[in-house]
Amino acid sequence: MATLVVMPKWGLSMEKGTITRWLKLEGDEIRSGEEIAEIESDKISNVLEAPADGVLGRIVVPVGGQVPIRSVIAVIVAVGEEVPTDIPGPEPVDTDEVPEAETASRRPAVKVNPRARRLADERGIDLTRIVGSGPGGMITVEDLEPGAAPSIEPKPVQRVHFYSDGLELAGLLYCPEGLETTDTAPGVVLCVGFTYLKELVLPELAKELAAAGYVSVVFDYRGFGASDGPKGRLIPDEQIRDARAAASFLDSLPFVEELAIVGLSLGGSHAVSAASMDPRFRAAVAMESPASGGRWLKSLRRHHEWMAFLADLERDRLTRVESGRSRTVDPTEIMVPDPASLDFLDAVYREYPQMRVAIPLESAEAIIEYEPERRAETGMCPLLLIHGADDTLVPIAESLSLAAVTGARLEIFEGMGHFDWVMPDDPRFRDVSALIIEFLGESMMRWIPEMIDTSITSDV
Amino acid sequence: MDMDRNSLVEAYRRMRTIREFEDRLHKDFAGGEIPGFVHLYAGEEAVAVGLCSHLGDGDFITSTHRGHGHCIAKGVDTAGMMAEIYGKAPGSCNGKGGSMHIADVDKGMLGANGIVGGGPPLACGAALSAKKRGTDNVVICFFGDGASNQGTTLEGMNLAGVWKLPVVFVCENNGYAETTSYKYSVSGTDIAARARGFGMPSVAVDGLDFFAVAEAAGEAIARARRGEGPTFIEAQTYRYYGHFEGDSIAYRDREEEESFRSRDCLSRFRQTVTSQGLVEAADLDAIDGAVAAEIEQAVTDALSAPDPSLDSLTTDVYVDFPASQLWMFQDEPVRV
Repeated sequence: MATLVVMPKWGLSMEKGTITRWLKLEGDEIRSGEEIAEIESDKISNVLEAPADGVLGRIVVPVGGQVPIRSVIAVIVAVGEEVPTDIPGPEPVDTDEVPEAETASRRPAVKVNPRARRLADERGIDLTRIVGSGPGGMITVEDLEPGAAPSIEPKPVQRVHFYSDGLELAGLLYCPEGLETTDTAPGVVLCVGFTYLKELVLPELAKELAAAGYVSVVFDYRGFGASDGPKGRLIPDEQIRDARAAASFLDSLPFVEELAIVGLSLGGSHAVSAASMDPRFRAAVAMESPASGGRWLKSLRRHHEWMAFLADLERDRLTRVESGRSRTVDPTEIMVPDPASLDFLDAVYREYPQMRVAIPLESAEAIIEYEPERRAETGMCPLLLIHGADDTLVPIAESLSLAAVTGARLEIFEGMGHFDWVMPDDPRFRDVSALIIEFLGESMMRWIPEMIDTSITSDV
Repeated sequence: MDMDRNSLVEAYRRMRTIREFEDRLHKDFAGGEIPGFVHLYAGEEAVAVGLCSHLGDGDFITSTHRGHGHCIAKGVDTAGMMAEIYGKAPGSCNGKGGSMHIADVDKGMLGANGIVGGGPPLACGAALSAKKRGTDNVVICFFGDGASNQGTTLEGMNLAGVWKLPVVFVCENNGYAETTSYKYSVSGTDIAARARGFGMPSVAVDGLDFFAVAEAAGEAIARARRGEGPTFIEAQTYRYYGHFEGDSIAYRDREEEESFRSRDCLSRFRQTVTSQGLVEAADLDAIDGAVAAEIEQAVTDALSAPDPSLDSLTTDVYVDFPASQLWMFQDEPVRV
């Protein structure tokens, strides 16, 4: 009786193998357990033992042939027996298909040497975008060193720019005092809130973070402040892309390793969303942030106002398809502030008139459809929620809901509103900053210059 | 040492069953029908059987990733094991554990273990329960030369020594932790000597000699049953196949393999008992035939057995009795 010899499965993950050598010829007598072929998989090369006594009747897969496991590669027959005529041919291996193992580990199919692969993993560099200079186009460590882009030195604060979807975004980069290019410090992306600019509020937090050893970047979203893009158009998904571009920018700096994302108000919603889709973030913080855009905007209106607002949006939807343009409104017509918040915003608008840009109503529609808490259901890195119990602009219900969905730690500050704590000399600002730094320290490395002792080397 | 004929025949039957089981898996694993991973025990049979021939169902063992031999030596049903390895519903763990998690608590087999050094803490727990219940049950803790470097192993030895737990620590030193020689990775290279530092008797024996293992095991187990605490046995042995199926074994040379195979534990056992007229060769041949048929049947049954049903997806994950009853061996009820 003929015995089919199949491509073996060796180890846990072998899916296909290549015949590198036949140790027996057709017609050779063989004994069970005798070595008959050398086979290579992507992890293992080993010899195949004959599964039965007899004669090697036919070699189905020649040297160099690659087939999936369990495909017939040869036939053993009894002495004097004919090879059956119905021997199945080899199943072809579809070379266009990305092997499962590679998609699972998100390894791009590029030639790269192991050291460069490790370095790219460490820095989160997308290897498919790198042109290799090694043999056969292999990517080497040298190809990953930032050389083409003008190098950025660590400074306490500097203006930087980077691109998101082809749009140039303006940012401020804050670094710890004394950080060297050769050091590595954790990086934090700071996301401002609804229509806010990078110069407001978050630079004070960036300074606190720098003092604690963190590099951070605060930036203007596309269409706002000094960044490119359609003026005043606020689409949450686009702002999330900008925040992730800021993360990639930090990642590209040789002195930054590990990333966190921190956002204030609507920026905190983006921090939650970005962290739930982008595994590079080790920690996320959302301060006084809406968990559901629709619920938040509705909470700022009485029912008849909400109905009228939705009717406006419906009309604008028609206008847009007819004229190609969305009607623009004052930001406070979308985010309707309570009287105290309006007074505060008016004061800010007087000082920063460039912040009072007209907003297209399509932005309101996008915010209503924006559900960070749904996105967070997929799971994410450790998350800290901070909210003032007396917030009248974003109700604390938003953070409670987000905490319920994510199980995240929620710190409630009694007697604190939305805007009344953000001055650097306010003790609550100090408390919030200290809390964030403590939280980040639990999930990330720290850069502490005093601890670097160059006298100790290890070659183990 | 004295062993009656029945015990000798039973010991041979179990060693032969292990060999047949493992040789068959070596052949069949490459066929691709078996999910997951297997690590084969062939070559080391004298250790598991030499120890377990002194045990009853009330005694416990903890095992390793290379656990098939321990299961068979402890009396776990081979049909259930084979079905388990094939991931089928009639398996010892309903087909959801596979090779590295075969367990049979009714037989005192507390489970193969994918964690290197995972056994010693379990052994201490089982031994503590035996002691607190006032039984004379013992626990055999099997582990390898690689696990002898693990903190869990050293901590387990310390705890067993401090509490005089009825544990026999059995280091199966087969020479290689996966692919690394113990000569490279075990500081001092004398594994048995380590145990003496914990204040327990310790002995190194030829793990390819059933009688040497059984004799050391008998003393250690009797000592544990008397409540005198743990003993350590380093059984110096050898595995015939690779660390896992598919391992090309590039780290061993063929001369070394041949020298160990020439001292095969089954051949030596057969030689000893037949030359001394304790068991007839024909009786051993009959066992060989019966065992081969048993394993053949186990494979046939496993191949045709159904997969676990979708309904059973979430069963066997957590115990389904109140947590308050988990501490049944404790003097006082524990509040949870």
